[in-house]
Amino acid sequence: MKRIVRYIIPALLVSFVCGAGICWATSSITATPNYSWPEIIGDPPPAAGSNLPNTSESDSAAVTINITASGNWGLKVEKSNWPSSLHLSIKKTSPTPVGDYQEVTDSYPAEDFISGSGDTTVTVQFKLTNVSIQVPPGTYNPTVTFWVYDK
Amino acid sequence: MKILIKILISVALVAGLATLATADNVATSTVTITFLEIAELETTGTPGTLTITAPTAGALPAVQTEATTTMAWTSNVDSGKTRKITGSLASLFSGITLSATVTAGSGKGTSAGEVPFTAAATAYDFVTAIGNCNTPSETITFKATVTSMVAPYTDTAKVVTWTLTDDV
Repeated sequence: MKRIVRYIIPALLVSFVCGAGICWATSSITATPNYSWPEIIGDPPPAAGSNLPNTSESDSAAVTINITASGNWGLKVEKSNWPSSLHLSIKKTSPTPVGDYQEVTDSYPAEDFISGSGDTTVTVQFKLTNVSIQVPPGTYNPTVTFWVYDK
Repeated sequence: MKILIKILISVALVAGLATLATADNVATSTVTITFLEIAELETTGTPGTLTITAPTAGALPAVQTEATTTMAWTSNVDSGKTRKITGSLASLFSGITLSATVTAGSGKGTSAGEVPFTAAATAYDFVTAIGNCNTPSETITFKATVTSMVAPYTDTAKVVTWTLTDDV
């Protein structure tokens, strides 16, 4: 019992307090909650015999991400509930310089996207590839999740 | 001492749980994307004239075929549904049965093979089980089979109407 009091409980306290302290210092994030793709895929329809155009891009500032941080931060991104054959890429459009498209997967853990420091507003653009007639018609509501962490 | 430990544990637990509940390092955006339903069908070319030539004595004239036209389609459907292509001949030829075959490549549907137009203005299935696919050039083959000897004639062109429709 004494051993518990002397070693384990202090260790637990340290882990909790430090853990809480780190979390309190962690950067925070908000993002545009909803975004409607500007192009209705299949409008206008392709000519008979032709497939849909392979790619489709969103607006240049499809989603705005507000990061609040006191130090350096990193941003991870992942997607979920996307039609399996569709590929999603993302790039930073502001602040400059504009980034290159990076494919987003639904793998866990989320992939590194960008990094920075201090309070930052980031806008991103999406690109769909592998758009095809193979995707059944309908309205899809997939999600993109952003994670900010201290570096 | 025990009281102090209890207090510290409580504070740490509350702080830890409160932090876990915050989770403000994550943000999710829901993207809405609409894929329209597409059903496009087109034929290319005009079939040549099918000329029935004189047979040998005692026989019916030979079957004539024509395969210069093609068909293209693009189609997507809801899960579990398919489409089909039907053909309809506006009016029949005298003494001749016109039939047609529409090919369908792998994954482009199922060809019904040679289908005769035995009744006027009636839709016959030529390709079925068309799912989400596009095909730029499938061959249409027309075949004229003389069924009975009739007086020579040159008929005006007759129209075959092709339709891409839900397969129900």
